[in-house]
Amino acid sequence: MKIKRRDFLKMSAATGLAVAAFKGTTLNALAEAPKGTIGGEKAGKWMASTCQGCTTWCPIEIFVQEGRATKVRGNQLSKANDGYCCVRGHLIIQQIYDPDRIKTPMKRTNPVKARGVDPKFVPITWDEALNTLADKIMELRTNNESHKYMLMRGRYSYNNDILYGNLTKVIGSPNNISHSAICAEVEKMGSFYTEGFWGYRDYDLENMKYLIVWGCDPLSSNRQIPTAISKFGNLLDQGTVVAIDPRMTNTAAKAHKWLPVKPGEDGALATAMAHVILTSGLWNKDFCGDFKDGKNLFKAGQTVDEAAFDEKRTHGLVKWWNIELKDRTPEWAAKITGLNKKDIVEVATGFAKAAPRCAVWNGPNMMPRGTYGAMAMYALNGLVGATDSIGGVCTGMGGPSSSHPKVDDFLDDIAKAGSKNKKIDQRGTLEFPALSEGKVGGGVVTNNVANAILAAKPYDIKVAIGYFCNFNFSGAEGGRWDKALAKIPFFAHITTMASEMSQFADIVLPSAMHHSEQWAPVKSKANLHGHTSLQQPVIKRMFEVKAPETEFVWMLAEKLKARGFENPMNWLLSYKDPETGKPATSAEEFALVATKVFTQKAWDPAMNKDYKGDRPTGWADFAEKGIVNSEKFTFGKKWEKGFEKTATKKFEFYSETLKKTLTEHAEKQKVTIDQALEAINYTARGEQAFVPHYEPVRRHGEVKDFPFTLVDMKSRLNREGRSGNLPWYLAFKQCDPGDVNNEDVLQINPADAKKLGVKEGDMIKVTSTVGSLKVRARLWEGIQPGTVAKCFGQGHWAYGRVAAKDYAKAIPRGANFNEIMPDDYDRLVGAACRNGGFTGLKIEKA
Amino acid sequence: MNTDRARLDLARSDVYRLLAACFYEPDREMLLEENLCANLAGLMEELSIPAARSCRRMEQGLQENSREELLVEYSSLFLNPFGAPAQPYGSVYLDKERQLMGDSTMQVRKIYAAAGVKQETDGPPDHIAIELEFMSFLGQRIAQAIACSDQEAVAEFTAIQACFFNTYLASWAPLLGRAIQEHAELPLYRALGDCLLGFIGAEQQRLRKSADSPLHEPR
Ligand code: SF4
Repeated sequence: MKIKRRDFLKMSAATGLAVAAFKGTTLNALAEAPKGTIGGEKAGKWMASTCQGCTTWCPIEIFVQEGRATKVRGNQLSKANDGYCCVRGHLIIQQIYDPDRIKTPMKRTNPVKARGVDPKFVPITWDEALNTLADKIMELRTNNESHKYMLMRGRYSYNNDILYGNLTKVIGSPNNISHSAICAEVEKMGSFYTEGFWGYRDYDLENMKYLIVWGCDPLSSNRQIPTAISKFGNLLDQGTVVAIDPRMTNTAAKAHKWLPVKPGEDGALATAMAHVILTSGLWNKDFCGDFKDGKNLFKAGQTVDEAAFDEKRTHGLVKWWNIELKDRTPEWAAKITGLNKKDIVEVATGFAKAAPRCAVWNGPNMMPRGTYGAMAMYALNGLVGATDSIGGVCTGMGGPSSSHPKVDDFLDDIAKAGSKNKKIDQRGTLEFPALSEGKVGGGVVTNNVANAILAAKPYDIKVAIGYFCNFNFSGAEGGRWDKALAKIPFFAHITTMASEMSQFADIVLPSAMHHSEQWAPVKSKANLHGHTSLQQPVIKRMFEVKAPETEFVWMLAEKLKARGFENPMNWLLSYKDPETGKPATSAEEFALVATKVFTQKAWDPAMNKDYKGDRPTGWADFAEKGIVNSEKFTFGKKWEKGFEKTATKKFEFYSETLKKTLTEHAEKQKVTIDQALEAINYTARGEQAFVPHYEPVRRHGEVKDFPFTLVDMKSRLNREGRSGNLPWYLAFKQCDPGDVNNEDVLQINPADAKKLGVKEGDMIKVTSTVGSLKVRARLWEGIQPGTVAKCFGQGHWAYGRVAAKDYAKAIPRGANFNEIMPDDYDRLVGAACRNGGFTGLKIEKA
Repeated sequence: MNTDRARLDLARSDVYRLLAACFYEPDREMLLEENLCANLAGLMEELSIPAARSCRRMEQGLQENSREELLVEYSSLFLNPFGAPAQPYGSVYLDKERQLMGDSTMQVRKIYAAAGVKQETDGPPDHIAIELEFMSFLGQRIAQAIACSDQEAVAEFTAIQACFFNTYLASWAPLLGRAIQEHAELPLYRALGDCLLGFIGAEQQRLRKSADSPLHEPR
């Protein structure tokens, strides 16, 4: 805030009383206006937008009175959530009106970048901030180092192509780094290397008879919460719900059965369930086929002649049996998983008997060697024919959209040459095959970027921008990120809150709130419908915030143009408003134009006339409603036409798709597949590498030294990592089973606590192989002896007055266990770990 | 025409305005050129408010520290995104959830409108600088009304001023003042905390008499 006029500082008496009294007023922030009345509340309006508080990406509505948001609900037209948002949706209000929000661009005045050292940010104008940034980018380009520019993306809208994808290309860098590999990439490996689907699945809960919720909590955090909540009651009445999770989740608390599997041993359970289903003859004969003579030859311990089986829509069932399943008896699994044989058999047979109206709803499985467990869990959906079946699991629908204009015409020689460099994250190497979507080096290795920067391998990063991300808080062993960020000579963070990552920024730029202060398109699915929805600036912006993916890019492009680099602006001007045919003339207009361009197919009557879902009559209609729902998913297409993305076009129990990709990777690295797997810590050798199989837990810390196993959990109040400064988050924390209001606790079984002499509420010291933290103990039967559970979300040492206990001394409120989770990966996909019992812990009284 | 009263109202209006100016990003040279602190001290003396000494210390502080030092301190106190110890917004003190744009903020905006002003800048209307400016505006209106012998306007603006001051500004400005005293490291801002407390305290004495009027709804 600056004083606009010097008059404001003058004394009125100086000009003489009479004159002063009559010359009117000297105002700065205020201006005279016709008198209003105080009156009551002005009428408000529900305005459509989209929440990205979690990956559900719900169409919502915000109630706005006089430019102020007061309430949130689901978009009444949404088929994904039937008009409801989850409890996190309501926290939007506190996010918007958080007094600690970044209100203006700021720059550091203290050059020392470290935790506990105040950057001493002072306000600057957007102009100054962008001039600085543009100079840095131009310098890279002048020195032929444009590849040393890096863009880090956290959460994003479908306008991310502009900042994340294309601006990076136009500048000339390969380094657009997504957060995806600290999110949930392993679970996609499960469905991809079986049925060729790289994505999150949808579920027909309405017609389901048997649901296994495995390593996730759909009532709380994964990944279509409002619809799961609303369908759950009926499902409990009409069928069976089983929760498989080491801790008592919200789902487990309500389920008919809870199987508290030992952390990370899910692969053992899944393969044993497959064993039971096969030995008891309960596989789906329509889907998988049958023995030619109708006699079940699947007998424990015995191999089966492949020729005896006539396979239908699947590939390699007998191979899977022979390579892996024949010895995976429930007795064997009982020993490994800590469950009893009876339960394993009961759930496997109950599940298969309900088939195909059943589903395994599996979670992220972000653990070392996690891929094969994810494949095993997902393969159960194939074995019983639940995939693509009414009452089962499916790929779900998409929402309609157009695309962003191509950037190819705006790449100069520097850009073309720069983009050809290797990516910073070391993907596609022997250590990080990163086999996303069947491509070698096809996925990001987010958490390794810190290591790569520190090692300057393949090179150093000189200029970085991050938005909607906080990697040193949300990635395992985040301390590495502190060092890496400190090493980057120039880092700009676009963010709503000054986070742990902002601590290392040279400039922080105030971001618009995605849900209420910007234009952007979002696409998602739930409840068998896809949708395209809008984020809209429904409230009056209080501060100088900008939409990172659009307005910021425009403003930066103006500065680059002023420095003679015109391609970015020329590319942005290639966006033409579909209604007027004209390009934008300002940053704000560009955000709107880009959103209209990307969604044109959804709202333009010339383009949507044959669409089977909602058909708005034009942009105004779409903006008012905020959503286009797709038609309902139609089951059975894959049964009919096959699985187009797998190598065999079948559901693969023996993954020729993975074999092909692994072969390509090994050839590129000039090693055998066995050597390749050995290099990335997998135990599989030979044919086992191509089937869903059991991989033992890779645990950091010997049990004798670190006897407890950590279970990471997510809160039903976590707006990803962004709830820490919201008073409601703390006030209602006990809505996470076992947690305590206004506290951050480690859940420990009372029997274990007793042995340690730990009482409820004691402070305890928790040590892993990489560090120690202190946290309050919560005695809770919902966690098995030998395991302890800790919710992600607190433990901020930055992020605002509520989130951090003492920012100046870098003392967090609560404990962020990412700090003591080792930096390990499921290297096949490049995903950083947080699940699956890979962190051994020692616990002492503090 | 009651010239004395008008003069005092105008002087008070100036105090509010000059104090408001102290809560903007410190433009050291402009503040020095305009003699802001000395003027403030003079006004305090004229009004017999025991804050003149803190104004003189403010002046010294302004001389002593560089523009950058002042800006760092200002940012740290009022803008610090890691948690500003002296939040400049009323609702952070007055509303239960301690958020921006609380119900109290909306009331403040309505009172501005009822008095015939609107906010021209961005941000919540209950920023300390804007509330002080509003008090200054009302003081000037009162002085004008006195000069014109418009008794009705005198009564109206006096009532609004007392209501606004007692219900809003004075309910939180002392808390802000104390937060500044506690967290400021440079003399300018430490003294500004003292000055704010001293002045608001004096105004509380003056306006308490009219505090009984239930002026949530000025005419
Ligand atoms: S937090 Fe997730 S489930 Fe909840 S309203 Fe937002 S997007 Fe929907």
